[in-house]
Amino acid sequence: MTAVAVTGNAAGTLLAACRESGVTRYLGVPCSTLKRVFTNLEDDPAFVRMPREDVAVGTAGGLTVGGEKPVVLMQNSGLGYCLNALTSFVQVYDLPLHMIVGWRGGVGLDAVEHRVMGPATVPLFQLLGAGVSRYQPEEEQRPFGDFLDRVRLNAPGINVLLVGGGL
Amino acid sequence: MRVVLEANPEAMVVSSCGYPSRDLHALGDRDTRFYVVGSMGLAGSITTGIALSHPDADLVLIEGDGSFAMGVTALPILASHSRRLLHVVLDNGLHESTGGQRVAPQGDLCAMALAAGYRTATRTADPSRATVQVSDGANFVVVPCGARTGEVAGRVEPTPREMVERSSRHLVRTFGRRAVAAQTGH
Repeated sequence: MTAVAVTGNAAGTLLAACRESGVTRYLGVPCSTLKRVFTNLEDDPAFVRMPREDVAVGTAGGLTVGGEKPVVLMQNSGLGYCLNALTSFVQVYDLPLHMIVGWRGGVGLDAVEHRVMGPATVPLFQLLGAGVSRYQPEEEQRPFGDFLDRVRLNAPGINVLLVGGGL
Repeated sequence: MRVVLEANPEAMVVSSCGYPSRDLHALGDRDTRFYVVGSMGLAGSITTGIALSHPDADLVLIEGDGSFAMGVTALPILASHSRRLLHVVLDNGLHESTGGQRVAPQGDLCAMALAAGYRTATRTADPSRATVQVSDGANFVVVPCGARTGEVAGRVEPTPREMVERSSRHLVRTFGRRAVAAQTGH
């Protein structure tokens, strides 16, 4: 159980906690929900820009084989692209994979393009047996749920932090 | 394939799913072989990750033209992040592992590689007369070949988990664990 005090800049707090949990690299496809996270990473040499989400998952796997601990950043609209990489690679090869996912269309009204993947996101991750945490700013001691504990543990499997509404 | 392996005995070799992995395995399994048994199209992305974590490691990526076409999104980042890469595409114009179906139109592979940022790109039917040794930067070789005439090699023996463990052990032992400057958290 890890307490994380959020002091105004939740994106910075999350990234600092990731670093303290051993994260060596961030691989990302931008998402407006995670805008502040990406802003924090913009000049960070540990950040590697990715063209598509499945490429990010594959590259993360290669980094893990190389002894690193990467985190993938993406929007849930990219989950469809990732499914084959998650099932045929990450899970078949028993790799750990940590993902911070901007969750569009999850709660309340959102743009029409998120109408289907929004509500399907959690069930899809659950079908894959992923550990799913949601960012909850009102949980002052543990706003990121179990996500950081799982990053630290780095056990095989998919570890997701869903961020709806921005942070 | 044999010519490429003999030219790079120390290199870490990643192969795409289907027959390329089975053929590579049949030529002699070792810790420096990472067979991507499923996830077609992902071998280039996986190689990008290995290149990022161990920039000094000599890397060879061997894939079929169908896999290459599927993974072409990763081509610019693979070129950009590789310091020591030989990328070999076996071009028979067929999805042979699935029964010999013709591949979709895919343009000029060498031109694509150069446009993506590879330092060199060569098309040769005779690899023994081309430069197939890993050298600086990302280098690309297309080998046009015919449909298979001999027997299909057996399936890859090490389990995926064993491949991860042994490749990881080899890379970290040989090149060390790279300290990455994670500066975030300000």
